[in-house]
Amino acid sequence: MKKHPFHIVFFLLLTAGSTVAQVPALNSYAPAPATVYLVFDGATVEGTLWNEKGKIVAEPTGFSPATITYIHKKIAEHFILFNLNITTDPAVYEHAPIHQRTRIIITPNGNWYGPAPGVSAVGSFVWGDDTPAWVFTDPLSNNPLFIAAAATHEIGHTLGLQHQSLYDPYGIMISELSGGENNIFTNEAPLMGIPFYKQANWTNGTSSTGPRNIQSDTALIAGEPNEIGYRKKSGRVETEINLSDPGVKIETQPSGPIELNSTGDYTYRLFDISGRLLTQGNIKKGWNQIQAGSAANAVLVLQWYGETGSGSQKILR
Amino acid sequence: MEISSASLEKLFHATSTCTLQLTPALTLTGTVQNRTGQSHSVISLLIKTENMQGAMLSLSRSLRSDGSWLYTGHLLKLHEPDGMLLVEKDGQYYFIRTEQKFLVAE
Repeated sequence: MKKHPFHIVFFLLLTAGSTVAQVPALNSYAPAPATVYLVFDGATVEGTLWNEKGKIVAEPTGFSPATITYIHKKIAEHFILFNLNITTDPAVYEHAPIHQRTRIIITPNGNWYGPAPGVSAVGSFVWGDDTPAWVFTDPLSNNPLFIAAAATHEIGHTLGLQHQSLYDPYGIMISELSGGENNIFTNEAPLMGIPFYKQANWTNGTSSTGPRNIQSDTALIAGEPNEIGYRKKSGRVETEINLSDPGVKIETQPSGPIELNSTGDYTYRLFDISGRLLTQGNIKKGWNQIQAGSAANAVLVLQWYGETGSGSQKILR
Repeated sequence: MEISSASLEKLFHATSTCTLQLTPALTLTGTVQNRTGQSHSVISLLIKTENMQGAMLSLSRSLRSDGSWLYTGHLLKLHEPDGMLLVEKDGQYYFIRTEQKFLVAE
């Protein structure tokens, strides 16, 4: 066997090691104990419900740090409301409470499972046995935006969410995954439906469990049994009045639409005090009006976020 | 199917092979594949069945604020139309048949 000079062997070892080291350690909200770990660099899985046929060896994605950072950012944006850390750092996952954590293994294919872009065990976030969820990148054409959407969808399942479904007026299911239908009135789709082709968000809607079962995605994520709650800021719950938040100034509105002035472009979500999502959309720079529906004599919470920052404010009506 | 908490508790003390009487005519037999517990308050168990086509029984035992144990779990085999979900009602545990898409979702 031909011998290689020592410095070449050393270089080869160094570059081989750098494949693993390429995953940047990212945390969306480090103070949160509840943790979702995004695994990009492969994993060996044993002793879970997925192991009916034995050990599963998940290949690394081979994504660049820039791609991983982009996917992490897109996923983290969907969880900006919650007291939840989206991490790529295995050490953070290891230190998270075992009954408040999950890992999403992002890997090229799921031949061991079958043709699907991903799969997860509903509610496994609180199982305490490290059952992972899966995202398979080959069926998603390795499109980072699709991968982020699929991962967010699977995280939703681990947090106990079912699919958002579409029913006809007689209660017959038209589509288990809503969002794929043509709708001239909106370009939005539920994250727990088909989240790939439209602007996807958490929604309130009929779940796959039945036409009368309204699933509030955000309330379920924050509430029991996950007990994640909403994100705190400077020791105060964001739903408290915080006029020092930059960007958006809400005019006092005892009734009718909510009127506000914004210094930038933001995405907003309006909740009732129980965390139920009422409406969502975009705030443009300048004067804006948000229709709050029939909510009167109520306590509402407006949360907004964008490139230049985020904030929230309680609105008494 | 009604399951006593005592028979569920027995599974958490099994070392390898274990059994669970589901009905008078049906006893689940399996082997413990995995046991995890970061603390005494939450312990999870995975049992691979030997007489149910290799279906997996996942069980978790967690400590409630009143000091009693809460058992949660499910029995399923991937790609089958149905699975079984362990639920508690009025202090009694039951395995109820559930569409598998509500337990494992894509």
